[in-house]
Amino acid sequence: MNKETLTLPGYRELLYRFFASVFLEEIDSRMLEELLQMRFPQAEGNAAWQQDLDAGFRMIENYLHTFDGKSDTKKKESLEYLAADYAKTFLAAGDATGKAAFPYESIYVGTDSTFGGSIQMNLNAIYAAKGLTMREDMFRVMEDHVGLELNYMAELLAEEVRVSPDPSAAEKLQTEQKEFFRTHLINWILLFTQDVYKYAELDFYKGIARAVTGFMEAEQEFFAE
Amino acid sequence: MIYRIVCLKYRHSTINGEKNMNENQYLQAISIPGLNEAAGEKTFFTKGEPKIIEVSDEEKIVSTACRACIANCGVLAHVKNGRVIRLEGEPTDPMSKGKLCAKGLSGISALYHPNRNKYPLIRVGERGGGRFRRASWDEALGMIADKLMQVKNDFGAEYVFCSTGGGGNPEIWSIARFCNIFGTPNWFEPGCAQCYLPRVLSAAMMYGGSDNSIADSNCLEFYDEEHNPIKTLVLWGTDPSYSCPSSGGRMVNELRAKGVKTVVIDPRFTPDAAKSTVWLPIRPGTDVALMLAWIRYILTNELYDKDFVLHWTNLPYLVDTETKVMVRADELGLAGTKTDDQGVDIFVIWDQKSASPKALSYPWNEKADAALFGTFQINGKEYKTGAQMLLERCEEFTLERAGEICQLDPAKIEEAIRLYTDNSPSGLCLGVATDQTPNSVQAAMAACTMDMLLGNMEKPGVPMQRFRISGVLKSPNYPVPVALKCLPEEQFRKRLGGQEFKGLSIWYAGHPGSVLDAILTGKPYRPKVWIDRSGNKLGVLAEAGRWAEAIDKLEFIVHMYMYPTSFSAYADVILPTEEWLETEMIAETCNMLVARKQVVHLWETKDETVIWSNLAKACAERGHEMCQKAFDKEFMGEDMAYWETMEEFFDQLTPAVGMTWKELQDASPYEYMSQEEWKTYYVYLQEDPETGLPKGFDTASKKLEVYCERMIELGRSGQPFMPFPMDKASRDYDPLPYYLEPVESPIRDDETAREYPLVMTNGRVPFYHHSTLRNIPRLRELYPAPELWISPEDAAKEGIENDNWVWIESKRGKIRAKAYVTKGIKPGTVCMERFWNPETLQTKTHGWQEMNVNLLSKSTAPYNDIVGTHTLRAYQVKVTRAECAPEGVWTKPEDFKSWLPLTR
Amino acid sequence: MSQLAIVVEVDRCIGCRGGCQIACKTEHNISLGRSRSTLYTMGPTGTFPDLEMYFLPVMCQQCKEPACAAVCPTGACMKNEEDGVVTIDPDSCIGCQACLNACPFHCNSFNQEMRIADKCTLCMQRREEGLEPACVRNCAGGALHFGDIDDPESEVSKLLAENAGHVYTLPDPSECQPSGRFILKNAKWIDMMPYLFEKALKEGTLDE
Repeated sequence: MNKETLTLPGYRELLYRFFASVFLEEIDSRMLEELLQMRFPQAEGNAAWQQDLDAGFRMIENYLHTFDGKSDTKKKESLEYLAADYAKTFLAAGDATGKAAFPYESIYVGTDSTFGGSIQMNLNAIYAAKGLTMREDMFRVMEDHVGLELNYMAELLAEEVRVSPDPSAAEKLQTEQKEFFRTHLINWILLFTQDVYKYAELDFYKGIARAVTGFMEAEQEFFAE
Repeated sequence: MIYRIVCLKYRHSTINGEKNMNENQYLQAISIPGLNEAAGEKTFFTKGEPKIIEVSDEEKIVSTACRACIANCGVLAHVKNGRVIRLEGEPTDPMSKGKLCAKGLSGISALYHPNRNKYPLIRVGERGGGRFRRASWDEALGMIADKLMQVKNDFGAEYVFCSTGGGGNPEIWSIARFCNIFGTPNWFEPGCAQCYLPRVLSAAMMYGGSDNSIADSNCLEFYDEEHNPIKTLVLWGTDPSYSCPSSGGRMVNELRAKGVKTVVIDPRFTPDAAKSTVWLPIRPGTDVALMLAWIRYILTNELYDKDFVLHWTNLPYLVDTETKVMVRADELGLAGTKTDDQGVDIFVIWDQKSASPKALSYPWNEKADAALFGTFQINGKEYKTGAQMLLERCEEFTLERAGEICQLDPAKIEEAIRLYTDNSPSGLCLGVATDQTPNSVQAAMAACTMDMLLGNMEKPGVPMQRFRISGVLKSPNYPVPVALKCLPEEQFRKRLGGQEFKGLSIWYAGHPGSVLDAILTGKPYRPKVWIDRSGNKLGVLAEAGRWAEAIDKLEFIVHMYMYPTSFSAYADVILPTEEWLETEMIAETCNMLVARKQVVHLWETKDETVIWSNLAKACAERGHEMCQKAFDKEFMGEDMAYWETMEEFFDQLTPAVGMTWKELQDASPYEYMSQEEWKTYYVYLQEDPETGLPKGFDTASKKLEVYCERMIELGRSGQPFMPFPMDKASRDYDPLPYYLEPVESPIRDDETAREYPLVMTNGRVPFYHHSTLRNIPRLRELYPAPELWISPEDAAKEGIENDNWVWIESKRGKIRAKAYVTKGIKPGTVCMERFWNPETLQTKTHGWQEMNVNLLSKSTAPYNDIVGTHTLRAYQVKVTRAECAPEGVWTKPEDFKSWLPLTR
Repeated sequence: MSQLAIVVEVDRCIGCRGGCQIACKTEHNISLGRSRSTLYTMGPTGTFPDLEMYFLPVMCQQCKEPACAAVCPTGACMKNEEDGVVTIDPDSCIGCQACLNACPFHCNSFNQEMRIADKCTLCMQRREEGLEPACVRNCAGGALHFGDIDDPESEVSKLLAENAGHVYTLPDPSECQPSGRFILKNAKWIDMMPYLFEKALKEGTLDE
């Protein structure tokens, strides 16, 4: 992506991709290096989205500072502990109490008394309509994984950027984004991020939880215009 | 289902048209330098052609089979949008006939349990710290294979041992196969000698047909309840209404409903006991004394089928009382060769007409009038008939003596025997209770003996039969071929406990007690790696405390299971296995084959049958020669080359019924033979076309070997089961059952009996199977903590009231349970089922120390002489009031909310 | 006018809790801590070793004169004319719990999430599809039967007729006329309200 031409949709797309990746994959050494290069802005203002985003970024920074001066071996060790926190928080790894922040929409959305994986099926159809299928080379997840939903928003934004010379085409995509955000993200994700904050031990995923909360609140405001 | 309040409400930011959102502000807040590099083109989708997919609410029904326990009842799984939404029984299943029990009905809960192991996990930080990270299958298997190869190369393959169990979708022979191929002789089950193997062994040695276990899906004759002519059914140490409610329990219920009388021998007043004609509340551990009393009664009152016993058992054959071996005719000069033309030994009987010994060539000597009982002198040596030996073995066990030992009313014992002997046909089914003490094999032998004496063999109505089979399963009960030939002789000889407990070799298995000793003492060598494919070893092996000590000394531990248990807390690698709704298997059910199908598949779980194959491949890639050969079709031949998928595996077996695996799944439940063809009675009387003689039984002598002489050879060399002869056990195995008073016993005048006055036994409840299902909320709320069944008299002595928490203590440990004060347990005896607490897994107890009866049981000698059974039941305990529940355990229904299934 | 009811062959109940507990709770998504039916353990009574025990599955008795309907302030709880089943309309139930206090058999419970009373409807939704109640379908012992006890030609009526002399109902102090029928031949029927019996047995206050 060309840095000079980044606009709001462009950055929003990047942030969606970033969070999608954080939820779907553990942080490896390459990603750690990228993170250490990032400079999280101060979000000034009293709006909830600004406060949450800011709080989240500061926590992530706190965590990243623990790598200051660490040898490569120590960095690797810390990343293992971070991966363990990922597994505990999102997969209930090694846990037998059932308490974790399972990153799936269908866990959080109360339906009526009918069972049935309709949420996954609907998402599968939505993704397929854009020609999108899950990569074969990733850990197997279900369609309603938060990471995939965030990734999908990114794809819609990428498309918006691509068609931006055509305002009516761009507007159509904005409507699609708003609809997807309403029906598959904002309806559950703030409950999810609460749980992530609760179950994660290390500041990194706690920070991510706050930051995503802020981001989602910002998007909510954005779409409300 | 975790109900969450649907977060539908928008927080509208526009008040009076004013926005809280300024686009420039937003842009500034998220213009993160470095974000582009980090997230750039990152996507988790692949892009292809757009496709329109119709989402329908259509419900489909998949016919499969349960595996919440070993009964494999047929299941109809209702599926909608890729989710299993309802389970019910498959009506055409011949054993369950459309029914399921509480465990099976909870399959959806188990499938979507939040704590499912979803991906391979590798330990981070110290063992027991509870930290794991996700790993790919390649990484996890690679790590295990690296360790296996290092240990094999530096020390020897025998330093790796594996274990499995009956809970959680096992394919038991997969472990034996892997071990044989990898080169270690060491694998065991907490079951085996403590569960079913004693009965399998006895039936194999004495009869050669199927054993008399209901809960292990034998006694198939009973499932045609309508036409079954049985008059009296003896349920000895088994409670089908609790252990297999929808198959065996249902069947026994039907038999009772049509008027069949039942006799129940059980210290607990189970539903089967409550509905029985006679209930004998026996002192735990004394079953063989009672059985010998029954046998004595049958013999001395001539209630046996004399004609059958003379012609079809080896009881008239003469035994050299010094060697305990039956004399062969050629040894007395009564025949020219040891064996006849068919290779069957020629034995000796005592002809009453001529008062002399005569040769008996199979099937019998028409000219002789064989004595059934008697002691004879021949050429200065003493000989007795097998029957005489048996009678003398039982001599002590009069009804009164049995009454004394077993704490039963002799008149009631007699009433029970008479129900069995005076109503024909009758049948005796033996359960797991007697498998759980060191007197295990003897009980199984005595149980077989009784039906054999009465002639309750292979005729309509009786449990022990040799019905036809489909031919699909090449190994007993489970399909994977164990590849015995792959284990080199020198490795075989290193089997821990192999020399002493040769009976285990019928299942190619090792002895847990010997493995434990080896780890703790380092003698003869200290194993280093433990791979377990099962539930919670610390909840089911005897004397869990010693196993925990042993775990500390191991270098590497792998746990393969559906969710973390206490054992996983100590693991270095956890591999996620499939729940039964995800696995594929064949169950042979009477004259039908029921295919278990992968109804859905979650996460990256794998069938263990494939995991072992993958592990062998990883070892092959690291240079393990036999593992490489294990993938070679030509080399493996009948033992089959390893497979990538279950379909690939089953496609090699299903041609036996002329189908591919997919075809069999589509046809399931599939009738491979009509009922009439399948139910072959009197197999022993069928003519063998080669010889023109009756086929007889599948034993060396072709007779029922009630005097099981071959036990001696088994102990001395391991024949007929061991692939290589082994040095003899420390003493000869006994061809006849004998009674062994429990070493911890209330009648012994010793410290133990004085300090620990109550006898502990265990017994099933219908909600759980082994260590499984303690985390299923709707089951756990029915039975949140183990009950300690205690009589009102014993409770009163300690001021214990119903529902009180109590301490139960043995010489080996101390635990808690909830008192269930009931008349339904014999005074002097207490009963408790196994338990562990998932909710305290991540605390210092790791969930196995609070209410685990196996902290109390005994892992040390004396063991059963033939198979090494340790002591899970019939040991001494004391019970006192406890202040409160153990810390952190869940007991209230709302506690279990977080375990509700993740399903929508 | 018919009267649908559950007829229990008590001798066949082996206390497995599969159909009447797990299948029912799963079918209706009943929350933890309550149930539409209760499996009572009636015993052991007697003197060891001469004991007696049977199991008693008890769900709504679909009374002819239901006490619950009589006290319902909104009419949400009512007896259906056509099939005799007593149902609770979730929309008009106000969750006052008067019915819970009124039912002498303790067959109803309170649904905390929806704040309404809840009870067995003989699987109303399943019956609409021509299916039998989940408990009946899944009872491993074959103890549970379902049908119209007012129709002499029904299977259950024939079963009752065959077992005449061994048919019991729960004690009826409030004169609700319970429709549930219990056939017991191999043990002595305990003519006590099951929950009271169990309580007395557990507390050791049973007068045998």
